[in-house]
Amino acid sequence: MSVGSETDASERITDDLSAAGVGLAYHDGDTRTDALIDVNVTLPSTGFIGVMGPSGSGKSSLLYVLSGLKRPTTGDVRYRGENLARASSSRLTALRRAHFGFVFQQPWLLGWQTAWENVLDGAPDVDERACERAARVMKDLGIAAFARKMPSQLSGGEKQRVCVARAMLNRPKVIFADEPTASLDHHNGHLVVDMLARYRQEGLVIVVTHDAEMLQDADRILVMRDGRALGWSTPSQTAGVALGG
Amino acid sequence: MGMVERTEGHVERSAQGAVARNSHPLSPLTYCRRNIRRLLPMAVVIVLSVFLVASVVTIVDSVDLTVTTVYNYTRVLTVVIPQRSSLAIDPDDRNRIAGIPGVDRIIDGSGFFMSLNTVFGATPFLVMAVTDSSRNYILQRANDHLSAGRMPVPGAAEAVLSDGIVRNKRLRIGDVVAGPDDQGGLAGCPLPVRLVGIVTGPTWIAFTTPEFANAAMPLFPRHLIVTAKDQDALPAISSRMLAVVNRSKVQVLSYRTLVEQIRTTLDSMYLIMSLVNAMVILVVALMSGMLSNIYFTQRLTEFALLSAIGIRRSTLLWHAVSETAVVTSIGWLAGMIVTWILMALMKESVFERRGMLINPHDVMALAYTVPIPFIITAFAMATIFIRLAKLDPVTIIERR
Repeated sequence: MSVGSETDASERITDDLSAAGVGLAYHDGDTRTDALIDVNVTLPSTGFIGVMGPSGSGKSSLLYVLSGLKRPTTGDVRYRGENLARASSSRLTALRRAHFGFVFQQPWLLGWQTAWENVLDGAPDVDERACERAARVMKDLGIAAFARKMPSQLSGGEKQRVCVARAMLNRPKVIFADEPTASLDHHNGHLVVDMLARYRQEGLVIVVTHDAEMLQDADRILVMRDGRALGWSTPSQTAGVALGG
Repeated sequence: MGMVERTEGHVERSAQGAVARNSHPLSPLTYCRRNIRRLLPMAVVIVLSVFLVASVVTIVDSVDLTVTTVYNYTRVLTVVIPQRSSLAIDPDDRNRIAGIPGVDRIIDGSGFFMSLNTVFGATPFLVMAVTDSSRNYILQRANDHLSAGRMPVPGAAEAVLSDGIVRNKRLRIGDVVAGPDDQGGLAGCPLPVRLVGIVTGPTWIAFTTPEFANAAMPLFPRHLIVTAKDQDALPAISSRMLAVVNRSKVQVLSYRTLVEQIRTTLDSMYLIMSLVNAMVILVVALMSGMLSNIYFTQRLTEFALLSAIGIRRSTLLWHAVSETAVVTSIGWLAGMIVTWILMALMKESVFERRGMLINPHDVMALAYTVPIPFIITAFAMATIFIRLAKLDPVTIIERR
């Protein structure tokens, strides 16, 4: 992958994702809300990272900024040395397509496509290779039986698992999951997080949640509050902490 | 078969099917096929608009069709009639016409007028009274031939008519084609004239015999029927005739003077029709574009999701526009089929019953409707382009 021209070679942090002095402000009329304030974080190229914090702490905003879905108001976000804050929209789109996978809070699927087709939406090119990969991912995630079903025939948990398969299809370097268990029951929530956790060998998985129990298996947990990154924690340190997301 | 095997079978079949069909999951055809109910209102609007535009054009074109059909004989011959109270062409004018290069024959004719049913109402049509040899000569020039009955007996109150006139007047052999009771006729016939034969061919034509015309209508003006050696040269010869004859004494009824003059008088009507059609097309395009925009709004989350997972906006625009193009194309095609069927039924039940001419498969009507799918697709493309340019996937997906 090419590196943005504005990046000095000495600044490159190969295969890493980092945020430096990142701020994100939302404007609603005259009202300004700072979702992120001077966030500095460096993430590894593989592993399972949790982001925890109460509602409004900026954890989802951090996810969007790191994934190029939102541009920071201040600071830089670097992926493989490329500054996403200054990249063009088309470049960010291409980056999301080639390197990132997404699982959102709601299990968004295209209602007129089968589960199989929804998974294939994650492929840049629908060719034989993508189909083979989709078949394997669906089989690995235990959702092969849903292949020909329409989303309306699936439960919330089943839909979210299809979303995970779509996110994994392209073997992304980073999977961003924003509260992927929020709309699921306990059992399905664990199923989805376990699926994501298994991907840590292939790439980096970042899961945003306010439920500490879902991050029991995480390598590290970034704790957020009032738009600031308070620091790193471990599952044992955050176990039983209720953050009221 | 075990559950696991069945499950794997599902996926393998899906994979094989997708590869074999080379179908993209975002294929516009797949979208349209699976969202027929959602897309039906837009398709119906297009069908109705295509029908509206095409039927208006077809009906208005029936005026031109009538003119060209009724006066098509002037492509074969030019009729020269005396003006005012004269009963015959001045010999000097006859000589001047005879001197025009390219003139083939000058035939002395008489006759009477019968009335045809047209979109203009009752229209007079010349029943030519010429000798047998002249009649056969004209029929041959017109590519017409006797297809039923017989030719009129000299002196008898009989006529032979083209099959188009027979249909127009809803006649059968033996029926009265003209007579003293005719309404709206011009120099009609004082005696009832019966149909004895039917002529078939591209040119509407009608004949009686000079013996009958001279006996029954001695005061009907004697006219000249002029033909050209080269039929294509007839318009030029007719123009030359207008230049050489004394136009205060003679009137030249050529294709140009009859058909083109009528067309000129109808220019305003055609202009109005074009304006009405343009307005209809514009309104329909705007309505359909708005419908398309509403559909797009309903699918905003879908597009936001696809944008979030890295599908380029240009690709999304292409998909949305392709889907619109598929719907508009199908709507247009269905609209043309509906128009052709309904116009054919109207021809049968409304127009032909009144002896009026209409072409249900009017190519001009087809041409007028072609812009409809293009304008709708262009309008949809413009609005979707603007919506996509402003699309913020996070705001829509996470409702933030």
